[in-house]
Amino acid sequence: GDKEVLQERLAKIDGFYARFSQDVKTADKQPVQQGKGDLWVTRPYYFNWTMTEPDETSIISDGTNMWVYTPAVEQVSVMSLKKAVDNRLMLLITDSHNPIWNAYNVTRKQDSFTLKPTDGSNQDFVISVLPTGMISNFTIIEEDGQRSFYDLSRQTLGKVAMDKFKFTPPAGVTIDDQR
Amino acid sequence: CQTTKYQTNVSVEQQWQNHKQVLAQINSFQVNGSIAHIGTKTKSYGRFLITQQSENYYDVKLTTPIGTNILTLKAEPNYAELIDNNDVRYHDVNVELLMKKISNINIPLNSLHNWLKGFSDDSQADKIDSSGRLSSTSFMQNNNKWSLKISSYATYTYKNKKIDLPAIIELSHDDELIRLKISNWILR
Repeated sequence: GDKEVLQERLAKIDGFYARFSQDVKTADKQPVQQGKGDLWVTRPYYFNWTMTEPDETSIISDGTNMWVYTPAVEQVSVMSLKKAVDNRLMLLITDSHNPIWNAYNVTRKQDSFTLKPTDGSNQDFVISVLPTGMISNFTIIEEDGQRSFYDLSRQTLGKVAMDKFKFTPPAGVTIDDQR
Repeated sequence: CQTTKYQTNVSVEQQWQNHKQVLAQINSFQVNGSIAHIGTKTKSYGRFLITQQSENYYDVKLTTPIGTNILTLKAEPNYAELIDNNDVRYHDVNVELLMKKISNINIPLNSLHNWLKGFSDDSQADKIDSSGRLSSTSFMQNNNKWSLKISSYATYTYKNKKIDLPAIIELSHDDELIRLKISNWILR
């Protein structure tokens, strides 16, 4: 079915780097926030999503834990990857065998795949993936219709060096350990 | 030398009065950016969009860096509604209490319409910078004494007049600090 087509496409590429631009709008198209950043992925367990504008914020999976680092408040939250509730889209994009896939129905229109949750969680996702496996954009859609749209550019395909997925909290940073 | 000193002071004071006159006309706007709250026990960060129709009618939308909802607050005179990220709605007559109850963050929202745009009218507490803009002041919120610092401004156009609006605002009282980094103002 459509889910298998999406999973197969995603699995064609073992890793990538992309620059992203973020555009968040309310249901009635009011601009909420914009941002820019970088995304590194090495499947199936590793990703590094780092927003650089307007502030630096990073969400990093080192394969075991997910680190959410916010220099603006000198804090990092860490949670186990298995129990990670938010940032599910990163888990889906990174690991096409992650059990979280079971919580989604997928419908396809050409290269655009819409993922609707069946477990009552409140976000739909849309992922545009070319037959080659390259992701051109993805969107997080909330129940109130707010859309967070990510356009990927300047992509280089292939596994990324592991040091991109290691995170050691800098000195003085508060650690909010949710494990 | 006394007169020159007197002249520079008047011009700064006069710039401040002119600045306040333009600010007083700016009551409908949208401003977005990032907000950091550093308290004794908790630290939190998010992106904000504040839409003010008029002094007493405004919405505050807080989202995570990746763009998902944290909360939406709608304020009207004597009525406030807060919608959390599970679309659950809470109501109260007092917007500050409602925000504190749900998000555990105390923000002086009742005077948001003043401090957000760098407006103040307390000649004792107001400190003015060399360009005739508010650099710091203090004000009371119930029994909390807040101090306000505006460390950076950006220039915008309002009714084809240049106006400087805050780019970085810090609000603190006791050991609570709120820092707003403003990305953009849209003036109506």
